[in-house]
Amino acid sequence: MTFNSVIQSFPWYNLFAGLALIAGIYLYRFNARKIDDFPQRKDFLIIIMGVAAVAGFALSNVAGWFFYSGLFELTLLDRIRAAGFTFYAGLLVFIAISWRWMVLFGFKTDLYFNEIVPSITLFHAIARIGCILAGCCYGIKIDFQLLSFTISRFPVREIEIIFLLIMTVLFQIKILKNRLIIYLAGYSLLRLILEFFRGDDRGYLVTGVLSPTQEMALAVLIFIMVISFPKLKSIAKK
Amino acid sequence: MSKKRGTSSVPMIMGIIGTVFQLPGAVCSGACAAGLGSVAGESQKAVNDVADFYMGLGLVAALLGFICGLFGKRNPVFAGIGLLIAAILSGITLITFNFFSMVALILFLLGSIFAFVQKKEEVPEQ
Repeated sequence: MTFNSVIQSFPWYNLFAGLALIAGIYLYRFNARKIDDFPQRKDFLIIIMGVAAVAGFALSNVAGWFFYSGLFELTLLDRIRAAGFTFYAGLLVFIAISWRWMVLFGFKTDLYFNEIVPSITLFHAIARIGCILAGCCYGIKIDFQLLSFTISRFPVREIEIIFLLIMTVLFQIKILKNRLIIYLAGYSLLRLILEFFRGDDRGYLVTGVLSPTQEMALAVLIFIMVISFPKLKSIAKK
Repeated sequence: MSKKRGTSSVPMIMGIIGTVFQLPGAVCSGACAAGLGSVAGESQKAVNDVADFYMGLGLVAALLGFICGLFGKRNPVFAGIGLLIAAILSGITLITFNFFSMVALILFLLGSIFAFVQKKEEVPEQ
């Protein structure tokens, strides 16, 4: 076994997802200091989010069985391996489950989600670095040359990382309210556009024109517009 | 009334990093078990059953390690016992000789020890 083969077979994506999760939890703990609540409850929320994240990732893998053709012909082991993870599907499941649980356990959802969102963006940015190292989620082939600098694939992952890091910084210093809505609207719009430049197999959900992620992003954007409309209307009246 | 709470983040970190290694470990042990079964000349159905069993065991270990690691501060005893069980389960999957499960086993074990021996603080009951 050569050094190169060890490096190639190393689970980079998993490792970076783990590191991203730890960074996200630390950022949540830092931000949650502002919330006036018992420390045990703040710790309990980490467990709720952990379970919701596992459920999100697991369900995104199961969703992948339906997105990509021919996976049901494989054995369970190969199917799990081939389906991988769809971040966007996992994110929506994570938000839905953790929201429901927070309501059940009497957490102030608006207050807590406001402090959780920077952790989500930081987690996602670091996990995407794992995508670069693992060689997944790549862009379409392009031929861009500037002096001696050459780009052979559209930098979808890199654009996402920059966007998410900027969002994290903005959430920490500038945007202090309505973070969840702003993040969901901004990220959904970005994914809707970036998906056109993805070079890997994006699967099929409802239409053959848009990828499953784009269809979900579109649904989220419409949902945000519908719930924000009364608010915007009242602001316009004033 | 007051309750005891852990102060160390090590069980949580060990739980997460252990899970990170145990996930490919679970897939690997499934594949390795299938390979070993094929070499032993077992039927295809038996090979698939053994592969699914070891992969399932590995995934349960990963899930247990992750969730119990998150309990590191809130309930140190529960976290310690959970991480110990996760270490034992990943130890069982080591029968298929995979490197990732070995790393996960060590990390879960370390997390379990830290969960038990960490400094505890008194916090008021909710």
